[in-house]
Amino acid sequence: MSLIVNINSLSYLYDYLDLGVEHFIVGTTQFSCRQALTLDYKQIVEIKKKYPNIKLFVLVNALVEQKYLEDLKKHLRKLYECQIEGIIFQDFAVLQICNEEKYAFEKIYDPETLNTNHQTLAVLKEQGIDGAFLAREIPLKEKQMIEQKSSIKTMVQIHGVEYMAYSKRKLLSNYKEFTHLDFPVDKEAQIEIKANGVDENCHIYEDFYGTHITSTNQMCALDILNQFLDFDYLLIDGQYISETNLLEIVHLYKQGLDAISNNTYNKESLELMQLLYRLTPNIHYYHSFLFDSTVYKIADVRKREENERS
Amino acid sequence: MREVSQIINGKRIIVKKPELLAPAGNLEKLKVAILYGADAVFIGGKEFSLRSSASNFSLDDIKEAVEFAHAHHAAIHVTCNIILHEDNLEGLEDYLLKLDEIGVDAIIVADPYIMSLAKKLNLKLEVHVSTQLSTMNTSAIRFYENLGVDRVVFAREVDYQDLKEVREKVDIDLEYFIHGAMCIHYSGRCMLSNYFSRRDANRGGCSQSCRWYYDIFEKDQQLNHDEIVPFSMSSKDMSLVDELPKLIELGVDSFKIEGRMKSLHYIATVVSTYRKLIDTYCADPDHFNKEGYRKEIEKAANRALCTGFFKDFPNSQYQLYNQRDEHPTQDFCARVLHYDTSKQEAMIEQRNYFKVGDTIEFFSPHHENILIQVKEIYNEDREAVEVANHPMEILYLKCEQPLSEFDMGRKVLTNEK
Repeated sequence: MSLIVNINSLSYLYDYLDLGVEHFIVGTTQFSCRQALTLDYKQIVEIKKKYPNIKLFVLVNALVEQKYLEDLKKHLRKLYECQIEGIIFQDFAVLQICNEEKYAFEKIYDPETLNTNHQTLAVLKEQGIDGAFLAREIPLKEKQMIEQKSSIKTMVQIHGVEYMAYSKRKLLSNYKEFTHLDFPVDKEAQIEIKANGVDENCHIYEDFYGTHITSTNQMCALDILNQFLDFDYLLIDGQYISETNLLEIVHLYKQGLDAISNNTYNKESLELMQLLYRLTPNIHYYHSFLFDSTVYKIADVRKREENERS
Repeated sequence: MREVSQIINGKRIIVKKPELLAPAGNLEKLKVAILYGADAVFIGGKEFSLRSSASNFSLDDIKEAVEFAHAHHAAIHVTCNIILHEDNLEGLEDYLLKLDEIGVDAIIVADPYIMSLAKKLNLKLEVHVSTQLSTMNTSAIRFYENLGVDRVVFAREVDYQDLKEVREKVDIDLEYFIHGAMCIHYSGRCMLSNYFSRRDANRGGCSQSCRWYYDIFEKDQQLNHDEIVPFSMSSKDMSLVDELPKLIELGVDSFKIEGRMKSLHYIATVVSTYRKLIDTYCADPDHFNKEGYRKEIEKAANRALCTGFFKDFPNSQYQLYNQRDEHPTQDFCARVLHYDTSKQEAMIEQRNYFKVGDTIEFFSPHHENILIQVKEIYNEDREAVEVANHPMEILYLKCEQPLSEFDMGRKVLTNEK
């Protein structure tokens, strides 16, 4: 089991490695969505050269239009030549091309929402995936069940803002056009939306691939880390977290894992949580869907609404 | 590449006529869809299907649907497009076997496990990849071909140029949405409903959070206020009625109409209009007159219409930012149950308010639209009534021109006369 960080800066790479954290997710200028850091091929090669033990996973998680398919093929070849550890993808075109070209790096299927049972992962293993990100919206017990029944690597998110939606439409630009408001739409602009009647805000931004929405609340599993030991990759998402805070947060999780190894986690987890709250006093942390299942049958929806009313 | 048209006796005709695939939320709608010209109808079962609010079909209903469809030379596609969770796996194999035994022609699936299982079970039915998988390119299609699927339903985000290129490069059947509401985000990749309502969109519980209004902030400063409409992601609905000839010429295999939860009137209007358009164009594509079809489609529109991603990249004109953009629903007011030729009288089932003096337009797969002015209305007790204001009430109307069972009547709005 390894921590894997959607890293947001190269500034503290040495410090992460010094902590014993070796797995990182980065984006590139093409075919990456919701990355916290964007690198070019040259930077990837240089980092690999400077830190031989580093395991770099590149986000190739855009959904791909036919007009960009040849660019995708060139991009995957370049990544293969960069000797990255793996890719994280969601369009099956990526897997198909990797299979045809026999690219041997790790292929982790992360469609954000679709990996919700072990049988699907078994079929996809036969098709060439090496790992899968388990959907956020399924409870921890189900995630554990899938992990137990799967023979591929499993990744789950343990910390950070959460993916909510991805549209090809330029939703902010369209709104600007309609209202004649003037505001930036990129990620750095920190635009937020809040649905009427809903307590939480969401981050929203645009890039070449469309509009992306993530939570502003951050999921946190620092206080229940001992329930995640069977998964292969524990994801800490560095989006919307400062460089220094991300390093500190990863450090806290590393301390948590060490405490589990030393059988002192029960005693130390509360203290670690207090350190986290002190570090990020304005962040609302929650357990996401880990202990809160969704409903979908109308009868269940109505039953729940009645319960909430009473 | 498949041959789309041929010159026969000096005239070009379309030889590769696309399938018209319609939605149905219950048996009545299914029968209407087929009678109004659908080549195939897609329906949802009680399990393993999205749109949990649609009535959905029991296995007995599906059997009846298949029998009715096959008797009318139409096909039945059953949506099994749920994203399976661990607790949905049980019963799946039996369900697929039963669908196959019943004679269902195809299943529409979003989970690769179902694709694989259907092939492992050696089912006769076809397996179609759902739009929930957002397929937009040939490499992804090759991937699904490896899993043995028979058809791919494209993402609604695919534009004309990409569709053309893909059609030229693959042989597998391709299905494309031509009409209906659209997800704002990539299908299957949206968690707004899960987060805001704790309702699982990928298992049919979508609360349509993308249609809600949102306050919008830039670094804590609210951008919308009394004079500026709130942020919304909501889109106009798609209609490719004006673009259909281009799609037919591409050789796309199936044209899909969205809307298993839509009304009988919607299904009848939309299906019959596209049916007539396809048949007319295919018979003589070089002398096709496109007039009239759009106006007919608009009679069943719930929202204003746009062309989705097909023609242009959607800008602000493609979106709905306030209620004023909502398109008024036409007044579907009657369904014909029977016509008595000797009495020149139609027995109808009332669906919406109308009164003596109103003009009703009856439309049908069998005849051109018929306008009648309502002079007298009689109830089941043969008493004259001035207004029809009890939904589903059986009423009688005089009509000199013959009508048929399943003909639909809609009240003509004053400004349309």
